[in-house]
Amino acid sequence: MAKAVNELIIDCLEGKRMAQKELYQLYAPKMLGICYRYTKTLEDAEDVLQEGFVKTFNNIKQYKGNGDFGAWIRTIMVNTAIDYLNKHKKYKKELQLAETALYVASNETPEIYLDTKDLVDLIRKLPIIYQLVFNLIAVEGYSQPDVAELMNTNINTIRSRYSRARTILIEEIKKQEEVQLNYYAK
Amino acid sequence: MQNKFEDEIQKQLDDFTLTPSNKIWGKIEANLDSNEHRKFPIWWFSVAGTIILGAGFWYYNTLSNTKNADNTVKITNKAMRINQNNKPTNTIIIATEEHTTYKLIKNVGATLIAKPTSNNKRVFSQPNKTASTNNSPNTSNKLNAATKINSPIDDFKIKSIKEDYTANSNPSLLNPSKQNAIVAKIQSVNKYEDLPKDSIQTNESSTSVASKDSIFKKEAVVINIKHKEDSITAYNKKGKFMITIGSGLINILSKSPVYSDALSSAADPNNNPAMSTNERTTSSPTKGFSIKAGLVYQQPLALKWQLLVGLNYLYIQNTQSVGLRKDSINLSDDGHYFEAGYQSNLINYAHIVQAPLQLKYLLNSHSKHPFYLLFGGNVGYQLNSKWLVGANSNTILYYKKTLATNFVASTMLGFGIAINDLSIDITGHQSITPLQNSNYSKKYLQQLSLDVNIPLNFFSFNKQKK
Repeated sequence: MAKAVNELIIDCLEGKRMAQKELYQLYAPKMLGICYRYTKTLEDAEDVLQEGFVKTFNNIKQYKGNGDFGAWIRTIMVNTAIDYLNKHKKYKKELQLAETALYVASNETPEIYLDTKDLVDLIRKLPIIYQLVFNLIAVEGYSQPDVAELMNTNINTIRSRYSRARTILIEEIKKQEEVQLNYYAK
Repeated sequence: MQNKFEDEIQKQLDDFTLTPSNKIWGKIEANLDSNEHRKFPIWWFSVAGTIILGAGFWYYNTLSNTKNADNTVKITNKAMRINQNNKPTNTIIIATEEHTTYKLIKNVGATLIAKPTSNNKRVFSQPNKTASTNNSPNTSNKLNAATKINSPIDDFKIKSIKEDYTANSNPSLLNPSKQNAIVAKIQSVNKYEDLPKDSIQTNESSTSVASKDSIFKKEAVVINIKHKEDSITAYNKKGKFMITIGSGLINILSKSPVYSDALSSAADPNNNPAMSTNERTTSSPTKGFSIKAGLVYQQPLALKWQLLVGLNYLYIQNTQSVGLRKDSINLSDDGHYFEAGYQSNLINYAHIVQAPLQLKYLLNSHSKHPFYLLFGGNVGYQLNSKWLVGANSNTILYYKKTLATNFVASTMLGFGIAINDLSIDITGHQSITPLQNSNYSKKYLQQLSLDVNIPLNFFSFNKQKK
């Protein structure tokens, strides 16, 4: 019978490998879903997942037990993903690109009929800089000043990036839904 | 900022999951394992660091105690007081037991630290000068010309305060040049052959003069100090062969998991000899021991530096308990039978021939028991070894000789002390090439070794002494 999360955490504190594995098995699918949203390939997402869990187990003593453990791991995964993007050339270069294009911000709030996987894939199609900001703000619920601090940039840049990401995504969602509608109409 | 769109996104993505590939857990486990193993060298190096710092502190203390404003040594403090009172213009020579270091200190009392060669007592004569010697290690009374200092040869540290030879010399004791001089006991005149000729010169004629004062012929000379420098240093350039024997502890560091799911190294937590499929752990007993024997040649390079090269035989071994999963295939591999569902003891071992290349830095070369630091490395060749490698997904166990890498290299750091011609080393070694190299696991060797180096002439030398 599976142990409760709290018991697993206590066992993990003692370095018990079986408990670590159980905890991993419990949280890995959800965490991989998160990592996947931040990266461009599944391999990269798995790399982030791996690094994230190593950090989790190495720092599990820091978990005070006063919050949801899943949320704690999620924070580690998000931070690991940001580190990963900053560390790897293919992402780093793109992250450092300055926005040049002018755009019209969208204030639309469309209904989303796409299934989750399609929606995630659309987020992942965003340029990495927008993908990151969108994930942090729209999905994780970080505030714009927090993201600005996290990314070491000013709030206007973040506001601009988020607005741009949101606009692109809404356009893409509409396009995708249209394609699907046409497909089913046929 | 949150609005309907963001709410919708969050709601949808909250349940988004993906199944990670099977290899991910293995990688995490390997990473956690290597982190655990890494703790050992950090602890190890911090201990070594503390010892080195302690030794450094001790050395610094010794050195600072021995120095004064005139770049002289501690023992001269006593002489300095004489200097203040009587203004002697003597010379101090400090020599190590092997007469490798000489320090000339001008205008202070004369002192010699030396080790004699025989058990005879030696009588040193004092010149015709009375000096205040309240601080003399030999007497708290005043010395006069008639005072003779008897020193047991085996513990011969002349800390006698020599008088002002120049101004108040006993002509029979001094050489004709009337330079600052001191009667010095040395093992043999030949010992000085390697000394820089322009710094110290032996004077055979003075030997005979000295012999009048009960100093044995050929065992004592008068050294004329030609150059009145603050410090004259020289070292014995003769190398020596030493036998090395040692033993130590080893730690096998695996860079990737030793075991696959087919194996377990831990005992069944329920004390049930049959391993349950789910009761597995990757933590593995990796500690073991080493035995070493060999021959080393030590060649002095400078006053404080020595080079060591040699050839050693090294045997390392560790034992680990391995449980094979219940659903594994019973198998015999390379002569070892493994029964699924039971613990089985394996002995990993390697026979290695290695060539050490080390540098020795003497921290206190003038001391009777010099303390030194060692650093360098070893290159070696594994003659024969057997390592547990791991098991593949089909539960086939690998415990083989063939996966060992033949060439192994390691770095080394340590310290030691020389006591009565023996040198005792404590060294830490970290291999930089794997002992064993396969897709399953790379094994690196960490070794903490206690070695004793015995000069080849040690036994004959001691016999002679008796």
